[in-house]
Amino acid sequence: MQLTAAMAFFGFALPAILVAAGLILAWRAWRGASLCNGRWIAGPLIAAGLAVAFPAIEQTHPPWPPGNGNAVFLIFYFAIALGVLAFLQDLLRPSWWLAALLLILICRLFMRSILAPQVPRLISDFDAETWIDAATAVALVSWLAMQQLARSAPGPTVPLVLGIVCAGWAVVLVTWHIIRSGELAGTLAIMCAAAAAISIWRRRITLAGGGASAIVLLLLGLVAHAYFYSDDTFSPAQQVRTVILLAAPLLAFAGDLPGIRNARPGWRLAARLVPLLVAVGVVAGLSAAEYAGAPAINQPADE
Amino acid sequence: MTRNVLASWAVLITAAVLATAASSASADDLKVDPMHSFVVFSVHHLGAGYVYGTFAGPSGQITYDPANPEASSFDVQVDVDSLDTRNKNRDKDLKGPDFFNVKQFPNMTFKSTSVKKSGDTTMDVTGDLTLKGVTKSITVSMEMTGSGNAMGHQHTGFQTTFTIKRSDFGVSADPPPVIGDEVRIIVALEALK
Repeated sequence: MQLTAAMAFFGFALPAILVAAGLILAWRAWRGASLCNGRWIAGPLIAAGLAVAFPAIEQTHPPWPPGNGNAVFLIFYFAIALGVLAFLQDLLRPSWWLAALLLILICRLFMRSILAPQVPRLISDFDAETWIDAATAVALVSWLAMQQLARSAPGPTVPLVLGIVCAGWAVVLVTWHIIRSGELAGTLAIMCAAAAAISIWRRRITLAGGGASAIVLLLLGLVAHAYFYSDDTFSPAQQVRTVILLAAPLLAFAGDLPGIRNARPGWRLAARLVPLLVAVGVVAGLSAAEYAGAPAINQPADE
Repeated sequence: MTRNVLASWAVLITAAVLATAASSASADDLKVDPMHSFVVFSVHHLGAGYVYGTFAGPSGQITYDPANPEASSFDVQVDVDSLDTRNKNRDKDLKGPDFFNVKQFPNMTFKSTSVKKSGDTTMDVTGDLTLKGVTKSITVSMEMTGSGNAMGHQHTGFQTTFTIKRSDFGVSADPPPVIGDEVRIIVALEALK
């Protein structure tokens, strides 16, 4: 799919600029050691960045109010809702179990909305509920992992981990023949990269809390939409790679293993990122190779 | 006197019933034969050549009255999942959410709302074309291409060629010049009585 200048600017550059500028302003990053607590800005920035990128990449504006349109428009609507909820979460600072419960409810609603157009024509009610349960479990584990990672490794670790995972999914979603969802995952990756750059400069600035919640849920929404709406028939190898990529963020805890836990920060960061880069790189590389090597002409008998 | 009045009314009522029966008998209810019906489309690629594709066997109902074409109607459905451009990867791209989004919108339909005779065997058919969940009114010039008998069925043929803008229906990925906005569609139907 051709990348126009408008798509490149509004779809990628502007969201990254938005995130970087927003974090700097909210945290008063120029103050050095006396930063404000601008934690509340992360979720709304991620949501705003995706909302800005969406029309440029999808080349259409989602209808307002929401109607019986494409399921992909749900990504846009939920991005706005997640931005508001992330802001409230970081402002009110509920207990972790209340935040987890909220995440579960939002995730279930999000997944149910994505699957609704296919039930019961393509997916039974029972199967849909099973998929919703599975997606919610993945979202909860990913979110808990990012919250724990933010505590044990403040600074750029969380945005780097999320950025690498989003970049891997961007490649894989393209190989699932949904290029625009891949591009939106790329937008998330670039926003994480921008946040990581600011975080390297000012270590207190973090995506933890609402920011991580927004990225986890939006990425999961993109993956779920792509999985259920792609015309691809997923081979066992593709399904294994999907599971590996969903579990990949947990590899970042390699930096907490005995022996590495007390190492210098640079080595600990490398211990967190290298296994993740290897796993994501292998999955993305194999997916890309399979996509590029697929036979061009339709095979009449085995279609 | 009374007998004459009654007889007159009987004649009038009989004539009215016969006229109604005659007009409805001349309109044929036809069923589209998917095996002998075709939908072919073409679109400009990179401003250079044309890419062609097909949809397999449309289905539907046609009511056709050669004596009174305005009483005709067309109700045709196309299974979008049957799309074939002879390239596996391209077909998967086209059936996915970036283009036709087949899993959410599996059918393309055309339902006529009015028909006007434009020639001996041609009609201007206006109707609602629904594609990817978007409905637009279009008018096509439909030609009745002939009829024949086989295996106890009367076969009647219709053909039309028309152009739509895919962006009108939300099929907007890869805008011009990569893929042209105008799509030329040829529909050839054979319907059985």
